Amino acid sequence: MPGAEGETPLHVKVIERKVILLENQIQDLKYRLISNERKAAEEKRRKLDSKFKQKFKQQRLPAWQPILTADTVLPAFFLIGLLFVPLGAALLFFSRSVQELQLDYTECLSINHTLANGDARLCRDVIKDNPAELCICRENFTVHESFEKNVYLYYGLDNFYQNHRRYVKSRDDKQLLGRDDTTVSNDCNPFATDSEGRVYAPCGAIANSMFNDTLRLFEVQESGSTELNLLKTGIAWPSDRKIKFNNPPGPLNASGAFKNNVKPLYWTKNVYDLDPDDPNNNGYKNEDLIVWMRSAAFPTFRKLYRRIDHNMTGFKFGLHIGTYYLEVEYRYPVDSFGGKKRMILSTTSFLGGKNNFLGIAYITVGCICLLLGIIFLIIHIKFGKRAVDQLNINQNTPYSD
Amino acid sequence: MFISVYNLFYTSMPVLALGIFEQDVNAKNSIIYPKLYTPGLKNALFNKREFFRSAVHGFVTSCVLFFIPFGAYYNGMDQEGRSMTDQQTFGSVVATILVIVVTMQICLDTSYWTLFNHITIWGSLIFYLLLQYFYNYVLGGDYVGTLAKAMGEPMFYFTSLLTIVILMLPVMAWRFYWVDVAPTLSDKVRFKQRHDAKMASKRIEHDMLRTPSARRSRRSIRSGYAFAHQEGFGRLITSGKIMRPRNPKPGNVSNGRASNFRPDVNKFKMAAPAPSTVEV
Repeated sequence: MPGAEGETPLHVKVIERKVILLENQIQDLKYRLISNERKAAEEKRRKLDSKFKQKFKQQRLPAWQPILTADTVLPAFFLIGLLFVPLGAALLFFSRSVQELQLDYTECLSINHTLANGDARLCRDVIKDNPAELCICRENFTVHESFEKNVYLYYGLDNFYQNHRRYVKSRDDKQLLGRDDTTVSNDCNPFATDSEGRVYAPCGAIANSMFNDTLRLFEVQESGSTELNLLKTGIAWPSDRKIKFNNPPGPLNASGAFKNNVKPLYWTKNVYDLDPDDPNNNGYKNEDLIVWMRSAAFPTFRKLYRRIDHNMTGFKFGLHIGTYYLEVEYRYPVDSFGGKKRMILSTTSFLGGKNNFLGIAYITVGCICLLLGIIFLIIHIKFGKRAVDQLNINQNTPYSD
Repeated sequence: MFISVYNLFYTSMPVLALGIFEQDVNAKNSIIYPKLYTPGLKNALFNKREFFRSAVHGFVTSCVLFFIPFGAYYNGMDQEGRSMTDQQTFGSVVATILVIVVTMQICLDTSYWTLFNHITIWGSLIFYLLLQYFYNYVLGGDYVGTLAKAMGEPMFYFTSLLTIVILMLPVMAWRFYWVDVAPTLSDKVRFKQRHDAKMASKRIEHDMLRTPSARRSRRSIRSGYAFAHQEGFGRLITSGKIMRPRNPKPGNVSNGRASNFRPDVNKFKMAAPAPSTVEV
């Protein structure tokens, strides 16, 4: 309503005051709303501050609390005992079913070297005098019981510590992967480079001491002797062959992949001559080398040398009864450290080779378990505290009586 | 590499979980039975003798851990005739069995299995296998293919089962003997806890089973008004069954004074009135 200038009429003032009042009330309500919302959010968070978190902080999480009582432990003893004894018997059976033949040829007699009086010389003496001399010796053996299929030929060494700490380190895995043929790691010393600075291929003491006897088997028949066919692949671990060993690029000869290298000190042939007939088995990928490079854990060990080829006539089902002889190209000197060499023919079983230990151990542990179970049963019946005693506690019960 | 990660990755987490979550009795019972704290006062659980005993146990465990696989793998071959007696296989087998045995020992020592205990314990074993794979195949370590080959042969599983049983059985037997023949207060309280929990769950079951039938048979003349009301405890209280003389002396006749009685709490708890048995 138009009134005097500069002077607001009374009702306008009243309205203004009411407006201010209402605004205050609105502010008030807004604040209350906000604080209520905040309180509600906190409540919700506290409720969501889940039961899990509360229990975690109060150490009251749901838990399984096992106690060793007689009704769990005693059946366990008996169960283990009753399980282990037949298991041990089965393992023993498997181990007994493996057929094995060992032939020590450390002191075999040479066929082409004689002493002054006409007796044959021991091959080990021959190579002691002249390491480069080729000494061939033969050892006869008879197979009394036919071996079932998949017969394997091993060479075994005694008193050869392939697990010596410094020996195990003495190799260069990069070189064996075909990567670096000019420099090798210091672990290979002193078998890393020769006096002219050329790198040995392969370097290191493990490769240097590689087993280099050649073993051949012959069967003696009325018409003469026939050589057994032996397979030289499939003797190394597949993972080794695929992942750990590779040839450097280039043709496998002195002017190709190995042009900067020289053969190791104790070897008689070069690494690319290990199997010239089969390029997949030559160089670093030669399976005999791979098998040797996997250093053995114990001083008496055996390594797979060849597999009998069962596609030969007459050997389809294994090694049959008969007279055989082993022909060795004796090169590997073991005399200086009192070692021994043997040839082993063996079949395999579900568990591997012939080893009675596991079977006997299982039977022993099973019997001890049963015995313990019986003893504890008696102890429990006679001396065990019953539930009445266990539960009868109060504040004065001592900790242990 | 194995030695450095052994302490860091394979064995630290379960021990950590054990230290954080382990409890033999719950908080309530710890206060009720103060004599539970006796071993702390007497320094009974970690002293020179215990330390020496633990060291000897470790030594014997190491011997067993070496010699059992040694005997098993002595002329070991795989099923295709390849030699398994190499140093890397033997080392991997012994190391794997070691990690398993140590984890089993922690299992025996853990008496309060929360979710975290399960995660750290089984996780440690899985982590071991994963780390071995990662280190050898991805980073190109020199044990590549060894553990996989060893674990692919049944010999490994028989050997590890035998070793674990040989190592765990004496420990279990020893502990069982002491819990059975001379249980400590801590063992007794744990028994009691388990017993109470069983009773409580049985009672809940029993109550849950009772409720429908109870409601059905609550058909006494007295309930003229709301069905939710029970008869009440009046008859029970006045019968004096739940009261017990304060100082029961043999041959003492009570003079009926209320002060001579105090409520028998245990009896009261179990004396829930069964409406079907209350006579009108």
